[in-house]
Amino acid sequence: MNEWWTYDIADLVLFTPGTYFRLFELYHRDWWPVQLACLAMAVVILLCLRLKSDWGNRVIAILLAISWAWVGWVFLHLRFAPIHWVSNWYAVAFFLQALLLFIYGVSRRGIEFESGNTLRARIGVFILLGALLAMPATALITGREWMQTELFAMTPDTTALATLGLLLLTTDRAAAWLVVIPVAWCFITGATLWALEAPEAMILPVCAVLTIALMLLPAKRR
Amino acid sequence: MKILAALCASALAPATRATRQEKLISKPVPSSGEAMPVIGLGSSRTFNVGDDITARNTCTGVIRHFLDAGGRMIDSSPMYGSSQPVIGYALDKLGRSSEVFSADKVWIPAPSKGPRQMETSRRYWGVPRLDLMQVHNLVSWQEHLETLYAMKAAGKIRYVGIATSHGRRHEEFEAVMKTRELDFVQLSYNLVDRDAERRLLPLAAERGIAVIVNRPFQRGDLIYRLEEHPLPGWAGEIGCSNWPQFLLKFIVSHPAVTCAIPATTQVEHVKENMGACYGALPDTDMRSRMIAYVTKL
Repeated sequence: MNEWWTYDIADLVLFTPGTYFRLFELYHRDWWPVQLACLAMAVVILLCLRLKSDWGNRVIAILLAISWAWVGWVFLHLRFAPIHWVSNWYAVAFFLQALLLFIYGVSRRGIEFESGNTLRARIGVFILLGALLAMPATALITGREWMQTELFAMTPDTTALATLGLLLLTTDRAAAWLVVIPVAWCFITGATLWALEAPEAMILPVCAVLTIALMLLPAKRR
Repeated sequence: MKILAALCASALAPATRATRQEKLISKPVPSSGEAMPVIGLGSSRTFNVGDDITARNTCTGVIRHFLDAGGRMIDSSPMYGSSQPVIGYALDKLGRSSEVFSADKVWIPAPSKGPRQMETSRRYWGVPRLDLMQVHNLVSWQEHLETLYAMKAAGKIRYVGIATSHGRRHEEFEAVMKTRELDFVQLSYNLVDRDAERRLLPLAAERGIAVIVNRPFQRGDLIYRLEEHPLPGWAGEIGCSNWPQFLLKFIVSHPAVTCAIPATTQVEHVKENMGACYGALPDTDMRSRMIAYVTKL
């Protein structure tokens, strides 16, 4: 369509904030108790990080891949697309990310989620814990229903943010490719939340910029 | 005496309702003379609620009050997510699809896919035929207009139009208005965004094209800004008791405008909006006074 340049963000976000956040509430109700499995996945990822083993790294990559595929299919395609047709394209991107994580994760070399006590790694841990622990509280902090919460492996924002945190822990070349879709999602969701006048709109874009900056820093300064 | 009073009251009640219906402000569609109430109902954002049954029933309530107040035109588009199925759900639940003037749009770059999209829209609405079909934002307008002319000739739609919003592609819009046979155009126009007054509205009047006005409240921003200020005392002279009515009466009092289509999720708002269908419309002097007052704010 050749007239895309004539639209601004608000023109493309054709649902109200109430409808958007209620989407999360209905989604959580419909899929309970899958949330418990997602919570377990988050705990397993943290345990695997502590173990620092090859198989632990593979488990992390596979769980991340499952998270991206689940969110792409169940949330973006089945739940979000009926009110936001472009979400089907988001779902495709999430599947692609799942595929990349799986391929890199189970390859002979795998992804090593361990980069020592560097600034980059410390910020990575901070972003990861923020995604797993702080993001779910955003709904309550901003005055919404607790059922409208964001959860890792259930909803896209927390999943993307946790992935960014984990990718900051690796210095593998794969990270440069694996970070593209999560970073793009951070800007997309930031724009959507900004159009909906949600107070947390800037969180993910700021984390994305931080991630890019840390990845571009010369190795010695990381 | 009480019995007599009660009898009088019951006898007068239908007459009062009829009188109110008689006073509902309508304007004729120039190409057919069909009377159109000056306030319609938009569906962008507000009716895009997906499968949420609670929200769908709220939308049904909005449509019921809109129809009860004498409204007819409901406007939608395939661009608006689930708005079309939600309208269809409401009309089916209310059993009132025959009362609605259905205005929809074709919005797809591939002209060959236009007929299928329009048929899908019709099925979503649950109506035997859509009354008005507009080319949304001039997407592939040359080809879609040819399809729409053929559909009108075959009786599959009643009116043909084009639609834009927020001043998008006004020059091209004007060119289409000058060169093609159109029953309706849809554009953005409100008390603070009066660009359409310069060329498009006079051209519509000259060419005998009905005008539907979208974004009358700038997606609500205009009302939020104005509600900080008092409504002028003289607003009562034109039957306005709130800012939405003030803004809507300004729009529909333009001689070229046929109707405005505010969108809402709330029954109270639709009641307020439909209030602009009754009472006096501002004349030229009053319109100038309205502009001056709001500009000063």
